[in-house]
Amino acid sequence: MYDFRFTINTFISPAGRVAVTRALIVLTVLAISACGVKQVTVKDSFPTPVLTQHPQHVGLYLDDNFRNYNHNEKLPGGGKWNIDLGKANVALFQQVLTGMFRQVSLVQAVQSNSGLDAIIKPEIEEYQFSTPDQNQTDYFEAWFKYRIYFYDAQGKKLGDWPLTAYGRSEAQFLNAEDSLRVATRVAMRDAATAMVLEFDQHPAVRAFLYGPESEPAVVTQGDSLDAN
Amino acid sequence: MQTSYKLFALLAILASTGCVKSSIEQIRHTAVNSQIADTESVVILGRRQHNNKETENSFLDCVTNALDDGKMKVLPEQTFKDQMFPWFEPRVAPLTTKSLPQLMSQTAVAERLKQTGVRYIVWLDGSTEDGDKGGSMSCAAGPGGGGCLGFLWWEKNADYEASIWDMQNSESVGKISVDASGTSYVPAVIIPIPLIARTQNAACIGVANQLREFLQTLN
Repeated sequence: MYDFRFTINTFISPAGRVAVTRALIVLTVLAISACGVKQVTVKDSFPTPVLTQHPQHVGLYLDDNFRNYNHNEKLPGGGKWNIDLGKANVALFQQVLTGMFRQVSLVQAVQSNSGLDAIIKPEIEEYQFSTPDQNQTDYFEAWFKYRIYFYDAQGKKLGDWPLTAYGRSEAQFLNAEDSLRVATRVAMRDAATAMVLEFDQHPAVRAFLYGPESEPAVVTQGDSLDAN
Repeated sequence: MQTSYKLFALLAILASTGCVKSSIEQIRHTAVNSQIADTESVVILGRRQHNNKETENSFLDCVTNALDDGKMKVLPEQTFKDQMFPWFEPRVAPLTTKSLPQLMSQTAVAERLKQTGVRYIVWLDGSTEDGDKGGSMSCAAGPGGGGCLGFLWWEKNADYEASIWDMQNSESVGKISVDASGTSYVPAVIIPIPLIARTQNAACIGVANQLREFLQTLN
């Protein structure tokens, strides 16, 4: 084990004391400002999935809660965190569905006779993160729990299912915000992957995509690839 | 005068480096005679599927930069993963070449891979871990100056494996493994002098040199 000691033994004049007091005040102000709210905004650009598109025209409904989703948390000894997730999640789902379907339109509500084949509405149910201090590793970690709602052309709900995602990132020296930003982004890319792989595993979706009693046409996680 | 400065600088650099010992192993699975065309490239990917330690970004960058010497086209990991999204994300990235034929059976994926020009994928797996450490050091400062007295040391062990996949033939063509360990020292008599063993860097150079030899031999 290391034994590292640092001792300061100095004699200060009255004028020096004033200077030291001022310097301490400045340092205290800087320390307090460093302990302020840590602001994290996730980059809102994602690649389009490489897929053979389904021929349907679907609507994507993103309500205000989803669009403005913000996570605020105060960690014991870890400061206050404010994580803006809405904008990036809007971009993520637009991009994923654009890769999955021939045509995607943003809709303002789930309604009937919209001229669409189906409507998809994602919800963020939960977001969690942990810092290296909490998880005792070298990584920042982030988790999402989404719920995907699926409606037919008449606005009737055909089903809903949870979608979970995880991401982590190496802790960067003196840059906790950026480390968490990267971990959250990795988790969102994982959500997109899960969406692509698991979408047609649900009976209602399968029937919609391929007709009743049809087998899925796209490659899925379970039957083709080694997934962890 | 200038020569003595250069000599001093050289001695300082040599003195500030700790000792690293490394062993490298290369295995060839198949005798490949195919050539990398000018339009073809290599991508170095880090394994991200493990629950504990994953391959450090710094190691990945080091190997990528060491290989990208102008003679061989090396595609950055993030560019490749974006272009092939989501098929090389941790949740779904193929763990063995057995999965490749099925992945490539998707026309869109096969076409995109062709567009990227990637012929060989190198999967890097492993990490650098802290080993034993010890020693003690005390520092003090006063009106007349300051200084430190003591001795610190610590070990680092780097263990990495590179698997080389030929994407054209959907097969594993070889494997390179490197094991490096080094001890860093900080002796201090007034001034602490760090003698840092660059264990990860030694492993990086070892892997990069073997990869270059391996892939150029394929040419």
